[in-house]
Amino acid sequence: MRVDPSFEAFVAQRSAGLLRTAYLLTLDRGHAEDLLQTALVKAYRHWGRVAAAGSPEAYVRRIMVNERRTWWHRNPGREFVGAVPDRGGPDESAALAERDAVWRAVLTLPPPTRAVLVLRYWEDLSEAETAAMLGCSVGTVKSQASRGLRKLQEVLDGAPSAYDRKKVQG
Amino acid sequence: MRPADEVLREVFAEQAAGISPDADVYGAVLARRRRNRRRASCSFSSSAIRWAVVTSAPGAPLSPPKSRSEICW
Repeated sequence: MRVDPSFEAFVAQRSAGLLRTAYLLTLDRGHAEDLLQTALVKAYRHWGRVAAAGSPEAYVRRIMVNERRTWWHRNPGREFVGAVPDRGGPDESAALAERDAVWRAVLTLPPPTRAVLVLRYWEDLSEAETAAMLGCSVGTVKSQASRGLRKLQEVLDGAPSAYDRKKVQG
Repeated sequence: MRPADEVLREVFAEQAAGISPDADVYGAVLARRRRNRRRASCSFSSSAIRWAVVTSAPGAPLSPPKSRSEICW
């Protein structure tokens, strides 16, 4: 089967980054690979137009987000969440403890909120770009991001600092 | 205490760092596309073609297949 070389090059160059985004959206490696493959197959059907539009990566990312949104709607509350890691030992650095606490909190966020955070703070999209990608208003993006960050901040504020840990050990 | 967005960026980077396509993503996409095309062509095949496929196999029964899955997998 003859395949457009530009599509082949696109997959070679961009699949790693796209897979990472897919992972943060799905929280599961297998689901992430499925999601990326689905998006690439869909993009390939219209590759001529997608490539000509100038931003095939954004197009594929948008398909991934839409596919995942559809999945969330069809499978409410059924998202696979990998095993929450055990808490680290007391000799763990404060920064590591912070990241651990925040990741645990991310796993508990509602999928739409997590999608907003992934697009804003992993993909570095603006509020307007995130809203366009999710098909919602900028106000919704702002409120979802604010709610998500507030929850993470609460977790951070409650996480024991290195000083607290020394006090406990001492 | 650091702001949540700053820590969140680090967390995403840390979690995503362990994810890289170790499989042949391109090959998988092509294989999936081929499968989809095969399924699509199967769904449009007429009963006459299905009959021909089944009866051309050695030792095949002389009745039409009961389901499409017998020849389209």
